Amino acid sequence: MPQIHWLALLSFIGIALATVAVGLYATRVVRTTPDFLIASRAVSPFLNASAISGEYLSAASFLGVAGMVMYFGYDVLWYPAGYAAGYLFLLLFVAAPLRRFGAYTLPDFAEGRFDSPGFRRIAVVFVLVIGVFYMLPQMKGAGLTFRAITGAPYWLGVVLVGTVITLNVALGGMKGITFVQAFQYWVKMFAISVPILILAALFGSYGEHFQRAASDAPLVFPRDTTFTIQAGAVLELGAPARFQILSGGPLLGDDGAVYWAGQEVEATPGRLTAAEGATLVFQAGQPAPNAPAGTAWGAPFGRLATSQGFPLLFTYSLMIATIFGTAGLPHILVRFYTNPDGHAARRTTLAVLALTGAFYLFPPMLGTVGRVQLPELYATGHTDTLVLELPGLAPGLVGEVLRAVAVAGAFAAFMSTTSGLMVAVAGALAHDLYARTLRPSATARQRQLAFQFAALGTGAVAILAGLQVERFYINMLVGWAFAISASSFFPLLVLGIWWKRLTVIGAALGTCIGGMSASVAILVTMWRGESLGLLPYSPLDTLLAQPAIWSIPVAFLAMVLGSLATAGTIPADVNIKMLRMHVPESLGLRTDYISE
Amino acid sequence: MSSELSLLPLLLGQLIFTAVGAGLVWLLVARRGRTFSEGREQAIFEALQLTNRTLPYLRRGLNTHTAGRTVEVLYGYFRPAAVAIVAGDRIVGFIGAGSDHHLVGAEYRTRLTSEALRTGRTVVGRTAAEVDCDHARCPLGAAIVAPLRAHRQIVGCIKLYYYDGDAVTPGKIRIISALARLMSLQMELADLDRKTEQLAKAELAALQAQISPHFIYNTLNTIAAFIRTKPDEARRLLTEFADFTRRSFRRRGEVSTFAQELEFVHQYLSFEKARFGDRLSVIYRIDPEVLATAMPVLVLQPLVENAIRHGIGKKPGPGKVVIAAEDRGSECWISVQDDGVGMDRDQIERVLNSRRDNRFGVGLANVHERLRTIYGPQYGIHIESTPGQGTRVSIAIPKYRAGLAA
Amino acid sequence: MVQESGERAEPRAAGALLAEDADLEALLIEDDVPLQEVAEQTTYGEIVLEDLIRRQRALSLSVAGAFLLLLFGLPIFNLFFPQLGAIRIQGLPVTWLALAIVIYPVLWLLAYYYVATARKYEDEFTDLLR
Repeated sequence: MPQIHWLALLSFIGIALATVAVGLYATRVVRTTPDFLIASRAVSPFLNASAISGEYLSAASFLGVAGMVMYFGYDVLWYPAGYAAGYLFLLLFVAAPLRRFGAYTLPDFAEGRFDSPGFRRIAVVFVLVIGVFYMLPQMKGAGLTFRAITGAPYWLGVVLVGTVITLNVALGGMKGITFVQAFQYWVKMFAISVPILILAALFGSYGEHFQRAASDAPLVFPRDTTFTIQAGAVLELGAPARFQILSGGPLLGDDGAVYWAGQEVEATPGRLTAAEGATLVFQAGQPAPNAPAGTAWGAPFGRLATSQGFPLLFTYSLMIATIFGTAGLPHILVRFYTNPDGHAARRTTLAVLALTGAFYLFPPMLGTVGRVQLPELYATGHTDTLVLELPGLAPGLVGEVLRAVAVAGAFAAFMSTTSGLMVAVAGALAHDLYARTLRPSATARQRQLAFQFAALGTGAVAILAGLQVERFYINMLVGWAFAISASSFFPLLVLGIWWKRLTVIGAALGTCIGGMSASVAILVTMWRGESLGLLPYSPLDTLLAQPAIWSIPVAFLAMVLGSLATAGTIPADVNIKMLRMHVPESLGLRTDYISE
Repeated sequence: MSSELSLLPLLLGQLIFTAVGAGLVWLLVARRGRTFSEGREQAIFEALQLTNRTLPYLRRGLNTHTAGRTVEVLYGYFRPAAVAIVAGDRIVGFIGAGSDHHLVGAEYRTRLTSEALRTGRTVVGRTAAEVDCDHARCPLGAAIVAPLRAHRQIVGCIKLYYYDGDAVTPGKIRIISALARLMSLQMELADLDRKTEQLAKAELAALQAQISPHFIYNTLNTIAAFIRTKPDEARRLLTEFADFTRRSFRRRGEVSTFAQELEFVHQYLSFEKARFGDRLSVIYRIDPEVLATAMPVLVLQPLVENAIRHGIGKKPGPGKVVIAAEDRGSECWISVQDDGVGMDRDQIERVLNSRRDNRFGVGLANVHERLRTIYGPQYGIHIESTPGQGTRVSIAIPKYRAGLAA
Repeated sequence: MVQESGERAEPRAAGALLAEDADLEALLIEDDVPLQEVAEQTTYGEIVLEDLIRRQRALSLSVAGAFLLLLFGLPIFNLFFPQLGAIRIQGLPVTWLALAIVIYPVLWLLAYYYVATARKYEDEFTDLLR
C-alpha cells in the first residue's frame, strides 16, 4: 500500500490535462461554416446523453457501488438500479416539458412557473444545499483515490484534487463543457469495463466468482497476501486462522491472548484488536478476517438492510430516494437546456438510460470478483478503493496499466461531477445572489468575476467539508443529496408541470417542508455519528437515515394542501404556461412576444 | 433475512402496492378506450357518411325543413342530449332534451349561442352556467356551438348539447366545426377582402423590419452586376434575397433561437461574400451548447452588418470577421470581431447613444436599446475598439428570462 | 351583425362555387382556427390542451406504475420466495440477475415505449389542430 504507483499518478495528471485539452480543443476549433451545426440545430441527443451520463456518474457510481457490493452484497444493488431508474422518472415527468418551458436552471423554473422572484431565492438555497451535499462524497472519493495510489494521507488528496478542480472551474470556466463531459463518460466506461473484463478472462467468469463469493464455506485468501492494518483495527475471525505478524502490533485477542511482531499466530474464532499498526501475512487458503458470511452476502436483506432492524422499510426508502432524487439534481437538469426541443430532450434521456445502464452492469461484477480476489480489503477497511486495487492483480505491467486506467476513470468521475456541481452552485451564487440581489447593475465582466470568486468559495467549502466525511460511505452521502433533491425539487417539478392548480404558496411550502425535513433528518443522523449498527434498533433511526419515504409524501401533501388553501392565487396565465410546457414546438404556438 | 423483520411495514407495503397495481390496470384499460388513433379509418368513413347525409339538405338553404332533417341525422350520429340549428336569431331545427322550451320557430335561448353568433367562432360550454339558457330548469349542461357563415356574415349556427361537460371531447368539437364549415361552403361563399387585409398586414411588417437601406441597395447592385456575368449566381442570390427579406419581416419582439439567428446571418453573409468576394473571410467559433438559447430576433445580424460595413468596407485589402459564441453557464456570450478601421472613444459613444446618426447605422443603437429593455440595464452592447486595429462588439444573453422562451 | 336569416337564404347553384374559387380558398384558410383557439385559451382551446395533458399524464403514470410494480415487487418476492430467487443461472441467482442485469434493458424498453407513445400522442394532437 505505501508504495507509489507512478503510472497511476501519471494517469491522474494525464486525465486532468486531457480534460483541459478537450475543452480547449472544443472551443478553439475554427469552423469556417456553421452549416453542420445549424443543420442539426444543436448538440445531438447522443453527444448530449454522453455528457449527461458523464456528469452523472460520480465517485459514488465509479468507486462506491463496487466497494459497497463487496462489503454488503446484494442490498447494494438497489443503488445502481435506482440511479438508472431515476432517468426513467425524469423522462416520464420532467424532461420534455422542462425543456419546452425554456428554464435553464431549477430556480429559473421556480420563478418562471409562478412569476415569483421570491420563490426563486428559496430554490437557490436548495440548489446550494444539494450541491454541497453532493460534493462531499466526490471529495471523499478524491482523498481515497489519492491515498490508494500514493499512500499519502486522506486530507492531502482532498485538498489537492479539490484545488485542481476548483482552479479549473474558476480560471478556465468550463470550456466546451458538453465535449468534456461526454469525453469523461467514455473514460469512465472504458475504465470500469476493460479491467474487469481482462481480470475475468484471467481469473474466471462472473458466475464462477459468484459461486465462490456466496458459498457456505468461509472466504479464504486466494494467494499469499501481505497487508497492513491501522492501530485500533479489529480483526474478526469466523474460523481458526494461521498467520504471521511481519512487523508492528501487538494484536490483542478478546480471550486475553497477546501476539507480538514476528510471531506465527494460531488464532481461534473471535476478535483481535491491533494495539499499533501491523503488517500481516496470510497464506493462501487461510480464512479472511472481517469477511461477511457468503450466504448472507449473496442474498437479499443482508448486513446493510438489516443494520437497523427494518430491512424492508430501509430498502424501499433507499429506492425511493435514489429514483426520485435524480429528477431534481441541479447540475443534471441544466444539461437538458442544450436540447433543441422537447422531443430531443426525450431522445437524449433515452440514450442516457442506455449509457448509464451499460455502465451499471460492471460495478456489481467488480464487487463480486473483488470479494473473492481481494479479501484483505475487509481487514484493512478499504473496500471503497476496490475499483482501484483490483486491476493491479493482473500480472506485471498489465496490472500497472490497468490500475492507471482505473485511476483515470476515478479522477474523471469526481472531476466531472464536482465541476458540474461547482458550476451550478457558483452560478447560483453569482447569478442569483450577486447579479440579481446584491448588485443588479453589474456588468458582464463583474458577473464573470463574481462567478470566479463564487467558484473559489464553493471549492473551499467543499474541501473543508470533504475533510470531515471520511468515515461515511460514499453512497450514503450521495443518498442524502438524493433524498434532499427528491423531497424538494422533484415534487415541485412534477406538480408544477402536471397540476394546473399549484400555487406559489403551496409550491414554496412543499419545497421548504420537504427539503428541510430531509435535511434535518440527515444532519441529525450525521451528528449522531455512525448510522450503521451503533444506534439502538428503532424504526425512527431508519426513517432518519433514509428520510425519502416520508419526506417526499410530506412535500407533495404540503404542496397540494397549500395550493388548495390558496386557490385564489393560481397564476392568471397558468394556461399559457401549461401550453408552453406540453404543446409540441412544431405547432408554432409557443412563439413568445417580448414587450419592448 | 432476520426474523424480527417487522410485519407491519411489510403488510403496509403490500397494501400500497396492490392498490397501486389495481389503479394502474384500471388506468391502462381506461386509457385504451380513449385512444383515438384506433379505428381511424372507421372514424373517417363515418365522418364522410355524416357529411353525405347532411349536406344535400343544406344545399337547398337553411329552413325549418332542411334544418329539421339535418338535426335528425346529427342526433342519430352523435347521440347527444340535443341538437339544434339556429338561423338569424330563430331556432330552425331542434331535437332532443329541452324541446319543451327550445321551440322551433322561436328565438334562441342560450347566451352561448349569442356568443357564437357574435364572435363567429366555435364556442364550447362545459357547465350549465357557461351554456346559460334563460330557462330555469333547462337540462342541458354542456354545448358545442359552431357558426354558419355566408358573405362574411354569420347567418346562424349549429349546436350540439350534452348533459355533462365530460362528454365534450376535442374530436367532437373538431368534427362539428368542420361540418359547420362545410355547410357554410355549401350554402354561401365567403368573400375576398380577407386576403387584402393580410396583404396590408405584411406591408406593415415590412415597415417594421430592420434591414438597412444600404444593404438592400448594395445587394441589389451586386445582383445586377452578376446578371450578365454569372446569371445562375444572380438567380440564386435573388431567390435567397427574397427568402432573406421574408425572414426579416418577422415582427419585432418575436423570440428566436441562436441557431436560427446564426442561420439568418449565414444567409446575409452570402450576399456580402458575393459583393466582397475574397476580400471578406468569416470565421465561426461557436460552442454548440448555445445554439438552443432563446434570444430576441435580429440581434446578431446588425452586429455582423456593422462589422462588415465599418470594419471591412472602409478599409483597403482583405478583412476578417470572427463570430464567436461562448457558453458561460447561465449566460451565453456572443461577440463579433473585425480587423477593420476601428473606432475611437467618441465614435463608440455615438454608436451606442445616437439613434439618428445614420453614418453609424441605427442597427447597433437599436440592438443596444432592445437588449437593455428586455434584460435590464446591465445587458447591452459592449464595444472594444482600437483605431486601425479593429473592433469587437460583444453582448451577453441570459439563457433564461421569465416569460421568454423559443 | 346577423343580417340574413336562414329563411331568406336562397339556394345557390353549384356553378357559383366554381366561379368563386377565391372565396372557397378564403374559407379553407380558416382551417387554422382551432390552433388559434388553443393559443388564445378559449374554453375550446382549454379542452383540447387539457385532453393532451391528461393523455400524457396517464401514459407517464402507467409506465411509472408498471416499472414501480416490478421494482417494488422484487423485495416482496425476495421476502416470500427466497428459494425461488436463489435458483442459479450461469452461477448467478435469479434475483441477483434481475437486479444487477435484467433491470437495465427493461428500463430502456419501458422508456422506449414511452418516448414512442408520447410522440404518437403529440402527432395526433398536431393532426387534430391542423
